[in-house]
Amino acid sequence: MVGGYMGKILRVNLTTGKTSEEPINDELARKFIGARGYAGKVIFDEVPAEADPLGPDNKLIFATGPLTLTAAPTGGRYDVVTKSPLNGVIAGSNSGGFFGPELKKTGYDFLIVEGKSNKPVYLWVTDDKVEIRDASHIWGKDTHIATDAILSELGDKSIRVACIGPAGENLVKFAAVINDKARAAGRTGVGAVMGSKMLKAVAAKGTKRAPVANPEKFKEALRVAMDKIKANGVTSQGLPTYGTMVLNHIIDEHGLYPTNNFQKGTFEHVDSVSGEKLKDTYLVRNKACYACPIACGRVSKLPDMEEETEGPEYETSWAFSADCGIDDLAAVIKANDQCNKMGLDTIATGTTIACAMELYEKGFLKKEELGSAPELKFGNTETILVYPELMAKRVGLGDKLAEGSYNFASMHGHPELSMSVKKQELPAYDPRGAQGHALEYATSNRGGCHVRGYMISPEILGLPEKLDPFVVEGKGQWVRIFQDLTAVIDSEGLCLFTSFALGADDYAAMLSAATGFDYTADEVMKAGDRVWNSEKLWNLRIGMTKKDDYLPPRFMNEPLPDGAAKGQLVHLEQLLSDYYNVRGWSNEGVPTEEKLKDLGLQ
Amino acid sequence: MTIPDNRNLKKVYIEITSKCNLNCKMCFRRFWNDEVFEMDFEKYLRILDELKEFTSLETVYLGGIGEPLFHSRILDIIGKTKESGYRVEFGTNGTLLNKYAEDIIRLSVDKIIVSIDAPDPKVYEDIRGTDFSQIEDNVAYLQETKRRLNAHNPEVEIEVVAMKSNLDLLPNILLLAAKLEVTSVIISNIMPFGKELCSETLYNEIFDYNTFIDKMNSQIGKYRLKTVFPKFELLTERKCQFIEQNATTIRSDGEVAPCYRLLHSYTEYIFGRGKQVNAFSFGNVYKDTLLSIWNRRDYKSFRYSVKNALFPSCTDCPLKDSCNFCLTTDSDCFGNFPSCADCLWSRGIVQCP
Repeated sequence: MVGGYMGKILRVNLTTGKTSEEPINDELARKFIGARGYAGKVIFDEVPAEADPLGPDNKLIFATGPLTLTAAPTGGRYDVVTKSPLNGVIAGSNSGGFFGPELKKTGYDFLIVEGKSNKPVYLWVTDDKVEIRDASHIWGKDTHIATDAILSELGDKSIRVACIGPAGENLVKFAAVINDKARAAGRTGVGAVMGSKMLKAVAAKGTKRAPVANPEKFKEALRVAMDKIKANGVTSQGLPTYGTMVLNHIIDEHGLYPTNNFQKGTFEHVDSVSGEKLKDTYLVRNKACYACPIACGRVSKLPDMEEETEGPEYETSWAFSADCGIDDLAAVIKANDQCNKMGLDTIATGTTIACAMELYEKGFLKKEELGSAPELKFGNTETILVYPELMAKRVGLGDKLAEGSYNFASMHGHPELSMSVKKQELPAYDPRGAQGHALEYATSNRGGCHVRGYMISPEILGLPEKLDPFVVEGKGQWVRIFQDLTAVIDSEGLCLFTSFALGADDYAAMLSAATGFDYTADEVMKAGDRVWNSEKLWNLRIGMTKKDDYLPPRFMNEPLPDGAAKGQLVHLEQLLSDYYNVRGWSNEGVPTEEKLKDLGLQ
Repeated sequence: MTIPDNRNLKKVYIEITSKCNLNCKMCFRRFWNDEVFEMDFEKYLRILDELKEFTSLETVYLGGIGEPLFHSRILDIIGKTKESGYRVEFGTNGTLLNKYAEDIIRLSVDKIIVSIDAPDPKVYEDIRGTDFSQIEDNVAYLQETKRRLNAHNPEVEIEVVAMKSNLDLLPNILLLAAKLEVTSVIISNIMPFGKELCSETLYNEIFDYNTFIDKMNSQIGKYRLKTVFPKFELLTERKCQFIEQNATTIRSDGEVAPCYRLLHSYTEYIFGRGKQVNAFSFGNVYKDTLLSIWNRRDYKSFRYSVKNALFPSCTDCPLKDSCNFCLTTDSDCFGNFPSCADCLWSRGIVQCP
């Protein structure tokens, strides 16, 4: 028996209003697992490479994995998969909360949205059913108002909603899909695709349970996994106590805490924007996503806020503080809340502001262009309170900033000042401080990103073993393993944070027991490798080459000026050649025939 | 692992009605959202017929959340059940005992358990909203009738919920119990179903329960009573009385739940922490046979897991205030559906008859 999957895919064509169902393909399920992997394959097969990401030919998939909705620790994730409007890659944007499992409860593993509606709509998915409903009254509203309006309209507060805010509607290139008001499928601009289809929201409420092929074996595997999560310091202490903001101090101490648009590696005011500070000031409590024993989520409240808000996360707290040279935690919390409401990716929003600050301070962005908006100087707190909304609504300079830092910097003649890879902004680790992580940034299939092979884990945190962050040798193999394993975790429907405690054996054991497919650790890793190569093939198909596996020149040419990694540069050529080699790719980064044959990807 | 099919059901709790003529302060009927049903007599007979499949079945306990004597055909139900050869027991609030005393004795009901919250008219009335002396009179009347008819049955027990507001009065219950000739007094702690009741718990703070128990016990010789105390703190042992007794429960609409706790949906406050309890059914006796439901793979596996305590303990887990599993009874981190990981009945803190 194939368990784990509900067994059905729901398709909704917004051009014609037609809906249909089809079964999950067992062979694809076995080879690509689910969520990011399987849905990515659907995009690969069904969306033409040249399709306009914001046109009707693009498809948008809300995809759960075989472990989503099960009791597997953190089994509450889903992916939004589509062709990215930011850079054309297969966007897989992963989110937690409760929406993913709720969607799966309706009996569908995936919801595939096709075409384009001519008026604002939302989808209401219940057990084996979907309804296309008018959303004119909530178009233009922020994610909180829209979510509340849908809940009250449908008359059930336990419904789960994933929606876009004004940013998605206005096709901001880094618009997020926000579910449960505060969890974001944040990166690669998936919210803009939703907006282009005039799809304001998906509301879901189901009553089904995930089938498990071998419940006894599954329980055994869960206990092993839970014991490891409870025994691990990061998952049982660090993350629950301080959330992801446990990292601000750690990364700063290691000298790779990017400050002022990656011009420095330490931030003198890190204390005032740390997880410790948050805990002492505005933290109300922890919040866990579905089936999560880690509970890194933060619920915080400022004295002058009417309602509690969630977050901020490490990346957000960094993007709005150190990267913009700002030391005001309360302002960071407000900016984060604003991004959730507007439906913006916080990393891209903060770093695009930081990029504009550097352009401004260097004289490439003129004061006249700012209009009445706050002056873009590092340290100016007002910027992060004002610009997010301008970007989401494309007002004034916000309209240009909404194209992302790469496009914005290019418009001003200096693309090299955009700290991005494949046009997507880099997150909160200076690549000069960790060679493996630099390689992961350069080669990440979806562009600048830390969650497709989190090399900070071995290079800084020492998990599963401590590597010297400055050493180049051997990093290719590490990055490959981390990338493949992450592809497995995303595709199963689990949270990356379990990987601090779990290994391939654990993921294979849970997946095998749930699905009834008999995976070994090697086989799941091979499935991860397959997902990775398939995404890579798409990138080649849309015309990307080795040149796109680049880093902004700053990291190869300007040594870090301060901190524990002072003097470091990224040795990219050496890293890439090692990596391509261990991947079984040519010197130009193209998978060889032999490799593809081995993975069954020809 | 395969658990063989079996017919070892020994006790069945049947909620013949979820209606009640009272509206007690701590009852979870006040806090739930479930529809109220009275089980059809014909349907009851069908269930009774199905019970023949279970050769070791001894006891039919009429009760769940409603007042069984409030069922319009209670006497027919008792009569038919006794005719089938089972022990019949039920729990009651006692308000209707005077009306049915003769019939209960004539039909040879084996045991009744009367809920009395405080041997003090004022406190009782505050909790139950009805006149205490009436209950006392009703039980006394039942006992008198037994004597008059020279009958031994039913055996009468008293159940009390110990709360802060009735604690001082509890020792007096023994005097009352002796006067009413009951055989035992079952004391349970309160399970708060509303936040406002959290302050009534005795196990929430340092409460010198040993002195309390000693005080009660010093009188039992005098009154020749059995007193069953709950646990007043979180102890290691976990044991489910429903599982230990090979029991099951059937709700008034036919749903089969493993126990009282999962019979209905409501919110519990476990040491002050809210938990949504969601009714859990392994099947409906109006659709499937009870034997097939009893032998469903997931129900067998559930009983095995609970019997062997193969479930986590949310109640004292360091993650309890943030873990999403703790929010409902739906599942837990061991992969159980439903989850007993926060059950205060299994800890002996809260007791059922």
